Amino acid sequence: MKRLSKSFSKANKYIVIAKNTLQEYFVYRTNFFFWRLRTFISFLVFYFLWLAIAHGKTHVGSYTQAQLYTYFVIGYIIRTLVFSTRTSDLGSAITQGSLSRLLLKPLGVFKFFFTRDSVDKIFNFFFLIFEFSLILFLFKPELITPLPQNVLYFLLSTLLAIISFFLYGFLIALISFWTDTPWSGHWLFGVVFVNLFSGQAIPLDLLPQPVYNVLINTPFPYFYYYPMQLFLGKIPEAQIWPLLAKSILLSSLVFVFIKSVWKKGLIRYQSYGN
Amino acid sequence: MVTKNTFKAWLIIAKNNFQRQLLTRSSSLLFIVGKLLQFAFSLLIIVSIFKTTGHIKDYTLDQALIFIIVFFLVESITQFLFRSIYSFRPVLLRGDFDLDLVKPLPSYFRPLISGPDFFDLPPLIIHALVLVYLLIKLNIHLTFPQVLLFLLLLANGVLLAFSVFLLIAAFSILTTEIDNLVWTYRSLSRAARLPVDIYPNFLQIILTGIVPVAIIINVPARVLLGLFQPSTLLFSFLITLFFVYTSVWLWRRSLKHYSSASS
Repeated sequence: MKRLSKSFSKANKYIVIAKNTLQEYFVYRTNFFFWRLRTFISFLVFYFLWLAIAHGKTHVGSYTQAQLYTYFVIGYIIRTLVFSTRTSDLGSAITQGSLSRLLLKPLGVFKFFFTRDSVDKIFNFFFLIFEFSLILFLFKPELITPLPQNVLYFLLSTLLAIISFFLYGFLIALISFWTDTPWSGHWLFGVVFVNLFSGQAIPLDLLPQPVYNVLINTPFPYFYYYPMQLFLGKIPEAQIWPLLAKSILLSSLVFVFIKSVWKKGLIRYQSYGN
Repeated sequence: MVTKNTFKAWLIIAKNNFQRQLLTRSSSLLFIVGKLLQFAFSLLIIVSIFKTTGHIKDYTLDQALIFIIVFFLVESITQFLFRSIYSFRPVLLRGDFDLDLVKPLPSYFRPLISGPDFFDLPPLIIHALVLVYLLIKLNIHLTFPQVLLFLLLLANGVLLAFSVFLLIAAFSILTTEIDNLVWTYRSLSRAARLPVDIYPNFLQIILTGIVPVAIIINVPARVLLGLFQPSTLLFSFLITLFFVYTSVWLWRRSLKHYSSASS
């Protein structure tokens, strides 16, 4: 009984953190509105660019027009759910020294940021429903009808992408233990690498073969490209489970790596005046 | 608007900023690597698309490359000059903007030109060199008036970008929101990596008249490719004039509504 009440009190801490995070969004409502607007416009730019590219052509590479539109329109779900993250706050906390406040509290830093990240995704999800409906209503994109099992694989791979992107973001934030500013590492590895190599900008198999071969051996395609390939049914049945297993293995490896980097980082951590 | 003293103050601040950026060498390196990677990969994407499709509307790969390099060139110039817009929100929230308003400098100095970003200089030079190399490789022989016109429209684009950023700064005084607005503008500007006439009409209108990235980025590129019509010159200047006038007017109005944190 005592153990049970202890677990409840532990969980309660993170519920309070979740509530506080949610309240933060309501304090900066305009900011959040413009964040969503920015994400929406960023999507529209990509969508219309690919609309122009595919215009008048039956195929672009191995993609039919409908497959190409689906790749970007359904990809909007991934953009919102996978790439919305609060892990960059950890980088700022490290360089500004406010991490000390967190370390002194009876909280797990990892769980703290995981809670904040989850709230962020749930909040973004509500806006996604509205924005996605707006896209379908305004632009009536020609989309493919996926097979039910492909939708399941897509959902599973997106869930794995959410977890692995959180871990990846957390790992990048830890670079701040060794750099002077929190943004440089986050920008290069968390923004530039992810934008270019995950397949958000272009389906990776349209790139030259040598570049494609290099990229599919990195973690980035698991964030966007593979979930979309699964939705489009472009991955042979026999390769699906090994692919998902690789994604789990990747997350596990990053998790182990985070633990070791975190320990080394804490030894190096200094917070003047805190 | 820009006096000798303003330029002197800018030079001193630019020097200090450069020294500060040199202090954080590891970060500087990461930023510069990221910018060059973005440039190289964007070129690769365009080449890959054209290898697959052959053309986009009536544009060829060579033309698309010129458009995208000019896009990066203009982006580097505007980011180098107006980077301080990104750090204006904390200044507003802390109420520190008062301290800038009492200085004998233009009121737009702090939000727009007080933090030239030297991380953008190496990429800027590389973009310019790649542009020259490509023009030579493609046998595009520019006449002297063409070069002059290109530089004139580039300057016009920078002035127009200044007006857009001033509008954003004015809006930020009224709402304290700025970061996402700047990024929304940056997202829209990415549409001008390729000529905007490949997009549907409504988007062309938005990108030309409402958020005029087509004039900032596309028009100078058109001069290089000989796709420029003389009427565009007048139109570009008129749009710039309109934006400069509107942004200055709105900036002055917003300053009247400014109340610092301590007021």
